[in-house]
Amino acid sequence: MKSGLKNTLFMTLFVLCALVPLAAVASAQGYVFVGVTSYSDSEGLATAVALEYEFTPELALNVEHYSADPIYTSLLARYGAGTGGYGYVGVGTDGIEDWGVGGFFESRVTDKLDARVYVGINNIINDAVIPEVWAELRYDLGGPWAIMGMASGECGELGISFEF
Amino acid sequence: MKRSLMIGVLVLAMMASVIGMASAHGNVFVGVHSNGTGSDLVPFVAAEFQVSEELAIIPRYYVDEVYGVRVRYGVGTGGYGSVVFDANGVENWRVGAFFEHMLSERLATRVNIGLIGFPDGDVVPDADLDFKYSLSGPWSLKGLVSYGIVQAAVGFDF
Repeated sequence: MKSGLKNTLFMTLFVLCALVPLAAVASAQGYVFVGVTSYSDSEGLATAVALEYEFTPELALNVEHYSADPIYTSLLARYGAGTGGYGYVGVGTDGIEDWGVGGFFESRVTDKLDARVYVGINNIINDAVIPEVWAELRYDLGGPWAIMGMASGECGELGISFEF
Repeated sequence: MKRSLMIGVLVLAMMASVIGMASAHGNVFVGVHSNGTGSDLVPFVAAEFQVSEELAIIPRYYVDEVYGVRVRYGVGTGGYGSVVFDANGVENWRVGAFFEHMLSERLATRVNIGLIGFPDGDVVPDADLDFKYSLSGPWSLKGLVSYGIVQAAVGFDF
């Protein structure tokens, strides 16, 4: 009886955990992004596809996939409006490749150009922990369209996004 | 020829700084540079001469005999260029644009976004972030973070 109750409790919690994000997606805002990325340690350009959901004005999740060789997918969570914190993990063909945590702030550079700057630490698995900075830029094209770019000391990215 | 060119550029940068100093304001700062956990801390000294409202010249010297100079033009937003020399000549150069953002009354940031080039011809994207936290009087804490690089320093405004 106790075991059955425990199972029911776990199932209820599991369903609740699954339902909360699904319910949030229905009212989410975000964007899809398609672009190209260039890494300093690889030749040529790779395509990048990203999806960002803003579950609340503070909480956003971003999944980005790079078709570089080897492929790489990052999952980033951001919390805060204007300023806040972030964390991410990067997954490659051999599992988790790196992770990072830190803070971010947003700045309106012009009427059409917004920037979000991330400052934190990065750890490539089995390597040293190093500081990192990257800046995301968004240029409003009007309507749901925008040009988005990213620059860090390691790579650059440029593409177009569609907001929903 | 290459050496003379380097010396010429350095002398020009120094002269511009000295000429500018007469009417310039700015700050000097002393700190340490690190490339992350496991790397040595390298002390450095630098000065920022605000020659005019828009133009700033920032020479920098690291104790491992690396020199650099950065030129910045603009207020709030603008452009920058820099070159770093080591014993073998030019170590790298940077060009790009910057924008400034106040995070609080005391904490100011400057975001530099552009390209970095190396002697072997590689040119890759680059981004770094300058912090300045104003203390009382002419003192401030300064920092820089980039991919794989962090610097912290104490500054004195003049």
